[in-house]
Amino acid sequence: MKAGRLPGSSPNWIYGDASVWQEISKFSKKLHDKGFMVSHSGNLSIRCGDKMYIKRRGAACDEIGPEDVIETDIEGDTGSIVLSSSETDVHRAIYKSTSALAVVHAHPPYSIVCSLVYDEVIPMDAEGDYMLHKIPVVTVEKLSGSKELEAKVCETLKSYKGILVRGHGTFAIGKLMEEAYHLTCMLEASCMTRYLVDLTGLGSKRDKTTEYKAW
Amino acid sequence: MIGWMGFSVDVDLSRSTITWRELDEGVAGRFVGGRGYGVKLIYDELERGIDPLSERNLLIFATGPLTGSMAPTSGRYSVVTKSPLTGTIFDANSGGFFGPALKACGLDVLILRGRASNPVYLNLTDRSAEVLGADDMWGKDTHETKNLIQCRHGADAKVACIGPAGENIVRIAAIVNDDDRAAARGGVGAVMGSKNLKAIVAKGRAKPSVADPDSFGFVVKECNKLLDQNPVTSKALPRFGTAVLVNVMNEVNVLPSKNFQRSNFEGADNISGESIRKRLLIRQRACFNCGIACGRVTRTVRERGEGPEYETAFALGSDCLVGDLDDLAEANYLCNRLGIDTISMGGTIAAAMELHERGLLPEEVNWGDGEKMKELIRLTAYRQGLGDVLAEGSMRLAEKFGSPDSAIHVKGLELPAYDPRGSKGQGLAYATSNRGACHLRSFMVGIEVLGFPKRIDRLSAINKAGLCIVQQNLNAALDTLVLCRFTSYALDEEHYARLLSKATGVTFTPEDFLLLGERVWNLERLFNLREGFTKEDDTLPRRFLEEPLLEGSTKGQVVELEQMLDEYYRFRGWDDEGRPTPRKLAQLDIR
Repeated sequence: MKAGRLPGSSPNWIYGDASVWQEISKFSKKLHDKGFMVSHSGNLSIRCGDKMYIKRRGAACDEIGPEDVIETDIEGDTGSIVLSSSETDVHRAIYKSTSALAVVHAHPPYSIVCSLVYDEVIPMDAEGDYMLHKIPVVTVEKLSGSKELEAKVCETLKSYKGILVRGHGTFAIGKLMEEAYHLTCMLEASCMTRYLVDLTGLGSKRDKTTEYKAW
Repeated sequence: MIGWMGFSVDVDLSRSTITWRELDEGVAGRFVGGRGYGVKLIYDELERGIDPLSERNLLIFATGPLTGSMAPTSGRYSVVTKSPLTGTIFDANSGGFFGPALKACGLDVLILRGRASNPVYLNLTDRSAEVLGADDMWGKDTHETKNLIQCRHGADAKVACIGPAGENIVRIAAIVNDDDRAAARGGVGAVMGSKNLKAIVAKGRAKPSVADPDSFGFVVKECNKLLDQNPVTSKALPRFGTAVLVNVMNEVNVLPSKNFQRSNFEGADNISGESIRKRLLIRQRACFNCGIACGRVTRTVRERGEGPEYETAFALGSDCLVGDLDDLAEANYLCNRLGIDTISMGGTIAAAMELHERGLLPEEVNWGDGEKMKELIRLTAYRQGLGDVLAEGSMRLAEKFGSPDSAIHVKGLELPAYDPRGSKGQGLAYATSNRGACHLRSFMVGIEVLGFPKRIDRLSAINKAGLCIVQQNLNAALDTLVLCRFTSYALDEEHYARLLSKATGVTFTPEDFLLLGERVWNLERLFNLREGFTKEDDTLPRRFLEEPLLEGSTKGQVVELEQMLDEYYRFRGWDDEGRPTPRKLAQLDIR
C-alpha cells in the first residue's frame, strides 16, 4: 500500500454496490446527524483481511468522500498514516486483539456525561437491559491516541462490545459496520435513559443495578 | 475441575480392556470438551493414513462442561473420528437426552478403539463400564435396538446405537439416539459398525455441578430471556420446525432442486414447514432443557415417526424432485430406523437420478419417484443391488459411473440445502470446511439471506472471508460446550463465554472463547494437511463455479471462489497454500 492510496474504487462491497468509503461515509453521516459525532471528531473503520480502512485526519464527519478514507495495514504502519486519524493506532490495536471487523468511535453527549458521573452504567431501558447488561467505563490519563488508551480499550472490548471512555466517548465493535453503529446507538440510548431517570431523583421501579453488576 | 466430571474412559474392544483416567486438565483448559477435546485426542493419537474403518481408528464420544446443566439446549454430545466418507477429521453431534445421560455416568469423554470379535454393546453406569454381547441385537433397526435395551436395562436407560446401515459399513451411516436424534454426518455410524459395536447404553446418577451456581443461574436466565423473545427461536422454529426455511429459501432461489441443477422447486410449498404442521404434525418434540422444541413428531397415512426437518425436506425432497409429503416423511422415517444420514442419502440418490437421466446408470432411478427412493434407502442399508454402490456415497458412485461432476460434494461430503450461487459466502464456507460441505461450520446464509445480525449482499464475493472465519471460530467453540447451533440466533460469544466461565470457574472472555474456536479449527486443519489434503481440496463442485443458475433472482450467478479463498487464507494467517504459519500456531498455543 502506497501512502495516500484511496480505497474508494472497490465495488461490490458486501453491502451491495457501495464501496468501503461509502459504507464509512454513510454511517459517519448518520452519527453526525444524530449529534453523536461533532464536526470532525469521532471515527469509523472497517477491517478487510489484513487491511484497515479509516477516516482521514481532519475530514468532516458528514462530508466523507472517496478521498477521505485511508487504507492502511493492520499489522504495522504504512506511509498512509500521514493522512489517517490520530486514533488509527487504537483502531488497529482493537483489530489485532479482538475479532472485530468494524469499529465505531463516537462522542455521543449522554454517553460522555454518564462516563463522567459513573464508574459503570447499568442500563434501565429494555433494549439495553437485554443486549448490553452493563456498560463499563474506562479511565485514562491521556485521552487521544495514547498507548494507555489502546491497552485499556482493547482489554475491555475483549469482554464487552460497547464501552465508554471517561470524558471521551464510546467505542463499539461488530462484525459489520451496521452492527457497531447499532451498538453505539444503544449505548447512547441507555445512557440517556439512565441520566434522565437519575435526574428525576425518584429512582427507577425497574432498576437492575445490583443484579447486572455481576455481568 | 468443576463443570467437567473429570474422567475419561478408554475402551479397547480388541483387548477387552476398560481404563478410567482423570481428564487431562491442560487439554480441558485449552480445548474444553466436545468437538474440541475429541479433535485434540484424534490429532494426537491417530497415525497418518490409517484406514478409518480399521481397528486403528478411534471413535470418541464427548460432552462439554455445560452438558446436562441448566444452560439452554445442553443435551448435546459430540462424536469425533476420522471419517470413512471424507478421510478428514470429523465431528458430528446430536441432541436428545443421551449427552446428559453419558455425563451422568461420571465421565466427560468416551474413547473407543480396536474392534470386538463379535457384536457387542457398551453398558455405562455410575463410574462403571462393561462390554456385553449384542448378537441378539445385530440386524435390528435403531428403534428395535433401543426398545430391546430398555427392556433389559430399564426404561430410563439412554441409548445411542447404529442400525443395519452402520452394521453393513455404509459410508453414510449415522449413530442414532432417543429414536430419531442422530449424529448423522460423515459415516460415524460406519466407524461404530466397523468396531462391531451396536450400541452404547448410559444410565448414571451423577449430577454435573457448576462453579458459581448463583451467577450461572443468572446468566442462564438472561440467555433464556433472549431466546424467548427472538422470533426464530420463540416462534418460527417451535411452530414450523426447521422446515420453516423451505418456502423462504425457495423464494430467494437458494433451495436446491434436481441435484442442484436448479434453485427453485415447484413443489416446495407441499414439503414446507407450514404443510408439515397442517398435514403431518402430531406434536412438537424438544431435546433436553430446550425451550425451542423444533422436533416434529409426525404421521403419514401409513406410518408414524419424526421429521422431516429442513435439510431432509431438501435432500429427499426438492433435490430429488420428490414433492409428495408422505413419501418424503416415510423416507425420513426409514433413514432414522436404518441409521442413515438423510442429507448424504438424498444427495447420493439425486446423483443417481442424474446419472440415469444422462444414460450412464442403467437402473431406472427417475426424478420424483418417491417409492423408488424408499426402496433405494433399504437397499443401501443392506448393501444390496444398486444400494451397495449408493452405500459408498455420491462421490464414489459418480466416479464409478464415469461422471464425477454429478456428485455434489466437498471433500466427499454431500452438500446441505443452500445453493451457494445464491449465497456466495456460504460457498466459501463449504469450500473451507474441515469436514467437507457443511452449513453448521459457518452459516453464512444466516447473515446473507436471513439477516442475522444484519443483512448483507448475498451475491457479492468480496469481503466475505472475515465474516465466514468469525462464524467458523464461534461455531467450533460452541461445539466444545456442546450447545445447539440454534441458540446463536439469539446469543453470541458474550453469552457463551459467560456460561462457560460461571460453570467452570475459569474466566473466558468472549475473545478467549473465539480464540478457543480458532484453536480447534486450526488443529483440524493440521490433521487434514497431515493426511494429504491441500489447497486443491478447498473447492466447490464444478457446477457452482461454471454453470450459472437459470432462473429468478440468482439467474446468471456462479461462485467466484478463487478471490474469496485467497482473502480467506490471508485473514486466517495461513500461507498461500492454506497452511497455518508457525506464527499463527504460536498465537493459538498449538504445540
